Amino acid sequence: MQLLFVEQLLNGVQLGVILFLMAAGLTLTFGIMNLVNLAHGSLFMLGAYLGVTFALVTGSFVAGFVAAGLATFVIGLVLERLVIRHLYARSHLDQVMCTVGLVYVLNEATRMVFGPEPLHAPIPAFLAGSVELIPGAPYPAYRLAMIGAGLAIAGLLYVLIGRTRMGMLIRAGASNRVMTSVLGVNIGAIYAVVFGIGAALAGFAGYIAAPILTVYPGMGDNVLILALVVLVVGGMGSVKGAFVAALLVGVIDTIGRAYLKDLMALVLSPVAANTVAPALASMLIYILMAVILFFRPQGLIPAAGLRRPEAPPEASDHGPSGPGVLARWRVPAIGLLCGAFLLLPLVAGFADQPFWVDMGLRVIIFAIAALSLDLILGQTGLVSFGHALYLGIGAYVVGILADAGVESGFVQWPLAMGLSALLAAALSVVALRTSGTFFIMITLAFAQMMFYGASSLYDYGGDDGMHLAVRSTFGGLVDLYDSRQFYYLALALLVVLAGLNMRLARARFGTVLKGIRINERRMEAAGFPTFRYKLAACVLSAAVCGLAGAMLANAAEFVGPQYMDWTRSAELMIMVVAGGLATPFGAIIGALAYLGIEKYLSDLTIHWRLGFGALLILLVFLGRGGLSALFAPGPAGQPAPVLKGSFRWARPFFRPRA
Amino acid sequence: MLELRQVGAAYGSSRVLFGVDLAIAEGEVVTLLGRNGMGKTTTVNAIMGLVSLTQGDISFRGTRISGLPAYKVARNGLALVPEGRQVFPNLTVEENLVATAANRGRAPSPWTLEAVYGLFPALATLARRSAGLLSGGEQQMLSIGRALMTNPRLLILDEATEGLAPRIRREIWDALVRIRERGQSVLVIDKNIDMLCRFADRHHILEKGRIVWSGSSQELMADEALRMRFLSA
Ligand SMILES: Nc1ncnc2c1ncn2[C@@H]1O[C@H](COP(=O)(O)OP(=O)(O)OP(=O)(O)O)[C@@H](O)[C@H]1O
Ligand SMILES: [Mg+2]
Repeated sequence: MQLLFVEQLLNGVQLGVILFLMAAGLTLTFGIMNLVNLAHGSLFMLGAYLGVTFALVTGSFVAGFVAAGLATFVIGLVLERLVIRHLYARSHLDQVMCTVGLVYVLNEATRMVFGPEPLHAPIPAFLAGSVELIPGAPYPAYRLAMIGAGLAIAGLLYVLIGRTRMGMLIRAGASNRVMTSVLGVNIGAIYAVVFGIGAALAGFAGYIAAPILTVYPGMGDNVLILALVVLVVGGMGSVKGAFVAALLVGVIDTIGRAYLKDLMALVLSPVAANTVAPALASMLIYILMAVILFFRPQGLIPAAGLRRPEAPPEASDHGPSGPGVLARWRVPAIGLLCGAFLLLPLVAGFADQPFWVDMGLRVIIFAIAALSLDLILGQTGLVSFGHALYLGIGAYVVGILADAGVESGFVQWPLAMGLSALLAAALSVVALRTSGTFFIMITLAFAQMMFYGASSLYDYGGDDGMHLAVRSTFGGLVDLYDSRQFYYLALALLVVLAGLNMRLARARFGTVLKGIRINERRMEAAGFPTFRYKLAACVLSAAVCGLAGAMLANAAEFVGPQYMDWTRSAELMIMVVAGGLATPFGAIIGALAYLGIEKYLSDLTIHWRLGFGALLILLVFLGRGGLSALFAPGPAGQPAPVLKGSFRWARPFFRPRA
Repeated sequence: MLELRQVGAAYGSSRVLFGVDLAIAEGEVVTLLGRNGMGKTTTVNAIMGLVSLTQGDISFRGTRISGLPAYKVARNGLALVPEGRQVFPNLTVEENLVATAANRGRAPSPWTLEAVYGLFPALATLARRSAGLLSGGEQQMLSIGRALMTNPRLLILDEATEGLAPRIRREIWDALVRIRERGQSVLVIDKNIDMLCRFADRHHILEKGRIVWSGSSQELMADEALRMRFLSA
C-alpha cells in the first residue's frame, strides 16, 4: 500500500512536470503580452509529432528531443510573426477566437500530414527498464527520466528568467512595456522570443510525454485545459505559481483517481462509491480550482509587480458605427430570413428533401443556444467559454428522465431549464468573482469538469453517450416524431425567445448590461449592483441554453458528453461573433452561417476544419461586427428609448445600493 | 545635436503641440519651462517616439528620428527620465540599472555601474532590493541612473525633483551638476527656476503648444514680467 502510494505520488509529480512545462509558456505569454493563447496545446502536439518522427528517422531519442524543441521554437516564432503579434492589442474575445482558429488549422494540418492514426512513440532502450527507488517498488525508468528532464528544464527556465539579462528584460517588459522600449529595447523582439520559448517548452513537454500518451491530432487540447487550470490556480503571469500549482494539480489528480474510491467506500456503500468516485475523481482538480478561486481570486502566488490582469475593454464596442454596405437590403433580408424559416418544411416537401427540415431544426436549436450565449457574451461582455455545458445539462436531463420512464416534455424541458439555471447560479457565483481572462478560463474549466463528470456516468453510456430512449411527449399536442411538428415547435420557441431577448435588451435590464460591458466600474459607482445583474444574465442564459440542449437531445435522439466538449463552446461563440454580437438577428444568422459553412465544407473535403480555422482567423481580422454589420442600419436613427416599467416583478433583486 | 522643426502633436483629436521649434547643441544644458499642461511632457514624448507627430520633424545628429519606434530613437543616443520615475518595480535596483544598459561598443562608456553608484551612494546599499520597495527619492535616483546607464548623448529629465523632500531634492541637483560637469548634454524640465538658472545655459518657455520665448539664464533672471506671465502658477 505504502509502496503503491509512493508510485502514485511519483506519477502525480510526473504529470505535474508536464503541466508545468505547458503552463510556463502560457503564463509567460499571458503575463507579458496579456495574450490568451489557446493554440498552445497544438504546439504540444507538434512537439510530439515532429520530435517522435525525427527520433524514428535518426534512431536517436535525444536527437528527437532537440528537434522537438527547435522545431516548436521556430514554429512559435513564425506563428508570432504571422498571427499572434496582431492580437496583443485586441480584446480577449478576439484572442480566443483567433487562437481557436489556429487550433483548427494546426490540428487539421497535422492530420493531413501524419494521417489520423495515432503515432506510436517507443520508449528508448536506455530508459526501458525500471529503477528500484525503494526496495521492492520498481518504478519505470522512463517516467523517472521525465521527471528529471522536466525539473531540469524548469531549472533552466528559472535561471533564464531570474539570472540573465534576457530574463531581466522579459520581466521589465512585463511590468512596463513602454518604459522598456524607451530605454532602447525592441520589445517586439522580446515578445517574439518569449512566445518562441513558450512554444519550445510545450514542444518538449509533448515530446517527453509522447511515449506514455497517445500521439494523435488534437492530443494537446486536453493537456491545454489542465494547464489552464494550473494557470488559474497558480496565479496568472507567475512562473513560480505555475510550478507550485502544476505539482499540486498533478498530484491531486493522480492520487484522487487512485484512492478516492477506497476513501469513499469508507463512508458510502461500495456500489455508491463505485459510481460516484470515478466521476468525482475526474472533477477533483476543477473543484480544487473553484475553491482556491473563491478564497483567492488572483490565484495562489500572483505574479509580483505585474499590472493586474485588469479587464480590458472587452469588445466593448462591437459593431461598426456606420451603416453596412447592404444597409438598404436590411428589411428585405429580414423578410427573406423569416420567410425561409417559415416555408422551409413546405419547400422541403415539394423538393422531396425531407432532411432539409432536420437541417433547419438543427439551425434553430443552435440559434437558440447562440442567442442565449449572446446575452452574456454580446450584451454583457462576459467572455464565457463554457456555454455548451448547459447544452449538455439540458440534453442529459431529457436523456436520464426518458431512461427512467418520465417521457413528458412538460416535465423534462422545464426541468432541463431549471437545473441549468441552478447550476449556472452556483458556478457563476464563483466565476463572477473574477473577470477578464480568468473568467474565460474558469468557465472553460467548469465546462470541462462537467464534461468529465458526464463521461464517467457509466450507467448512461460514459464516454460514448447513449441513445435517447424516446422523444419527449407533449400529451398529444405536439408529436416530436413528426419532423414538421418538431420544426415548427422549435421555430415558435425561437421567435418567442428572440422577441423576449429584444425586449430585454431595451428594458432597463438590457441597458444596465450594456453599461456593464462598456464600463463596469462606472455602473458600480452609479450604484447598480452589477454582480447581481451579471449573475441574473448568466442564469437566464443558462436556462435558455438548457432548453436548447433538451431539444438537441430530441432532435439527435442522442445524449453524450460530446455536447459539452470545449469545441462545442467555441462553436457557439463563433456563431455569435460571426453573426454579430448584441444584435437582434446575430445569433440566428451566425448559427445559419456556421452550420451552412460546416455542411458545405465538410461535403467538399474531410479536411474542412483547415479551411474553417482559416475563415475564423480572417473573421477576427476582417470581420468587425460580424455578418449583421453588413446590414447595419447605421447611427441615423435615435437609439430606441429604454422601455420603462417592464419586468417590474424583478425589481427587488436589482435594487440600487444606497 | 537635437533639432525640432515645427513639431505638432495631438492625443486623438485634441491637439497639444502647434509647431514647436527647438534646438540643442552638443554639450549644452537646456530647459523647457512652462506651466502645467502646456505640453512639456508631450514634447518630450514626441522626441522619444511615444507620441506621433501631426506635423514637422525631429532630427538628432543629422538623422531624422521622428517616425521611428521608441527603441530606435533611444538607440540613437537619447535617454529619458520620465515623469513619475517609472522604475521596474519587480526588478532589483541593480537589475534596473543593468537590464537596459548600453553595450553598443561605443568608446569607453563613461557611465558604468560603479560610476552610477558613485553618483548615488544610496543606490549601492540598496542594490539587491526590489525597486518597487524604494522611497520616491530613491526611485528617482534609480530612474536617473538607469537612463545614464544607456550612455546617452542627450539625457532628458522630466520633472526629476517633483514631489521630493528638500534634502533629497538637493542631493539630486548635486548629482545633476556632477553629471553636467562630465560634459553630458541635458534637456531638463523642472519647476524650480532658481536652480535651473544656475544649472542650465539656455531656456525655452512653452505656452499652449508653442515656444514663446528662448534666452539665457541672465535674460530670464532679469525679466520679472516674463516670469510672471508664463511661469507663475
Ligand atoms: N494621454 C493623454 N491623452 C489626452 N490628453 C493628454 C494626454 N496626456 C496629456 N494630455 C493633455 O495634453 C496637454 C499637455 O500635457 P503635458 O503632459 O504635455 O503637459 P506638461 O506641460 O507636461 O504639464 P505638467 O507640468 O503638469 O507635467 C494637457 O492639456 C493634457 O491634459
Ligand atoms: Mg509634464
